[in-house]
Amino acid sequence: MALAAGVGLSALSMTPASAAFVFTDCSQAAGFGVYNIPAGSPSYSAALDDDADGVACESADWPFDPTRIPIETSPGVYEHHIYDWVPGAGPGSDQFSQVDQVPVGGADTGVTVEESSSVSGLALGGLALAAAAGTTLVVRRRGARA
Amino acid sequence: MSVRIPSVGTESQLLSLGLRENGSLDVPPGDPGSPAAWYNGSPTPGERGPAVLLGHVNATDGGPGVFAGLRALAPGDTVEVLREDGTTAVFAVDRGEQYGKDAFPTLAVYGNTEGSELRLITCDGYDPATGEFDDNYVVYAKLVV
Repeated sequence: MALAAGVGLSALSMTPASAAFVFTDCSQAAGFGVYNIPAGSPSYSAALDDDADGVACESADWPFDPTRIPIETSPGVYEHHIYDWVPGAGPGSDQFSQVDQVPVGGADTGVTVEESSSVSGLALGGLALAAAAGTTLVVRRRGARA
Repeated sequence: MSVRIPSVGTESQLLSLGLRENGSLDVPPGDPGSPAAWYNGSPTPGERGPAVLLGHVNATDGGPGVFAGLRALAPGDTVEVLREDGTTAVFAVDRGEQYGKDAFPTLAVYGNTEGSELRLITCDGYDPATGEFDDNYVVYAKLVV
């Protein structure tokens, strides 16, 4: 019995550490430049495959580029790595030709609020709204995990 | 270069900033009164393409940051950018959207546009448990012709 338990534990430790990024819908996938996700990919889901043909988020214009799928760097935290865009990969021209270098993600434009700060309520219009909507956001983000 | 958003009383110089070593947008300091910035790898406001402007939602003293008013913007509100050549480019807000930082829509924000557009970025999704902002709030605006 002890041996079986040991085998079970080592099998668990061999599970890949990173979870696949699951797209909530194809427009989210398109936002990352991800199309034509094949059934074998960890980011494939039947919900995104309208005609159930084994390819999700189909596009006649763009190839499947798995390097554009966000990867998990620590539990629940995903990073989107920008690789060199391939000019001419889509209809006409590179979709990011108007910027010099595509930034990775958004902007770090929130100052961390310390426990001891003078402001506790942060009752500034939008921020109050954000705090109230906090739980909704958490659910939405967790929904994006595999 | 400077930006003015009359409907929410925002007015600020625009620092010209690039990217950090990790490839993400560089940001201005978090002090009270700190200005907003224009990502200098994006088109200048008024040129074709998505001009990226960013600013803090809050400041280190607990008060509002320069872009605290973005959340209150409604479609049709104007954003004015006074350019280096002295002319003013006027944009109208199209929409504002909130995104988790782990699901940022790169193509929608930085992808090519037909005309001249703005992307105003600040933070959102304040989590009282951690004191941090988990999301970005992006306002999309188009040049008024």
